[in-house]
Amino acid sequence: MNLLLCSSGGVPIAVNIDRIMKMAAETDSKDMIVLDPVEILKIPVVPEVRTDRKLLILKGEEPAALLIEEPNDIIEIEENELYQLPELLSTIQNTESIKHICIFAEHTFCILDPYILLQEYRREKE
Amino acid sequence: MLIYGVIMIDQDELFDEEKESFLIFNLENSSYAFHSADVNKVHPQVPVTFIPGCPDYVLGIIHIRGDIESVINLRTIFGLKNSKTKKTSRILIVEKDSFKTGILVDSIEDIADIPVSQISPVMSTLPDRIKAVAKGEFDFKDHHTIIIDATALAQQISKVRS
Repeated sequence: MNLLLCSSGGVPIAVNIDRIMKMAAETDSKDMIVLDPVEILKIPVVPEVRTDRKLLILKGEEPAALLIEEPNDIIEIEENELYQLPELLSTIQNTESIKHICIFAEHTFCILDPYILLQEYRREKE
Repeated sequence: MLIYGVIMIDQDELFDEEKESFLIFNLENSSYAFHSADVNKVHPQVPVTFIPGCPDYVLGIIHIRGDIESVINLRTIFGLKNSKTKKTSRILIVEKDSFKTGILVDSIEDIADIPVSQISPVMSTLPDRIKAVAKGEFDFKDHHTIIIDATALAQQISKVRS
């Protein structure tokens, strides 16, 4: 699995690049849904950390993009190098979009599935 | 001739009093305790990684030697004011039945065997959030110490999440 390492609201996140069509500075369609993890997952954030913003345009039928910050590396990781979240957290989280973490260069990254985040966003809007 | 003898007997030996072992810790200038058997590790302060989408009492996770543990903030659960971690702060890994989590505390006070006779029911004046997880209390080094029941804490966490 190849993961793009970046951050959202200062929280280190990783996104499977199989989900990403391209990276862009802005949306190329008015109809595009922009998923901001900071808003959807209510990440407490100080505005200063939200620099170097980029959009990850997602593959899929519906135009959608994930707003991230500071994309800085792509790493290849084996399935057995992923860690599941502790059982307590997996039962109390209010999102299904983060179920695993990975550790790279002594930093812990939450692996965010943008497809699930999109589903949760749609459910919220309904 | 009468011979009087004095035999010194330790009071604990005489009554063979039952004792319970506690790990006593401090939080916001108050003293609390877990049963020692419920605490399987104590970690010094390590970086806690925030995990999005968790309730506010979850500080995040820690990664120590291949183990990933959640860390919860008792202050939030108890309704105490938040404060920065201190040099003395520690993370207790509390494990009871299927409940396992790290708990951030201000400092570790001691590990002590407390006679069961010295453990009394909790005061009715305790705040409800603390009373809900308190199993009893005892005096230790002039501090009133509240015993936290890990099972009740697990139940309280499940209530807060719902």
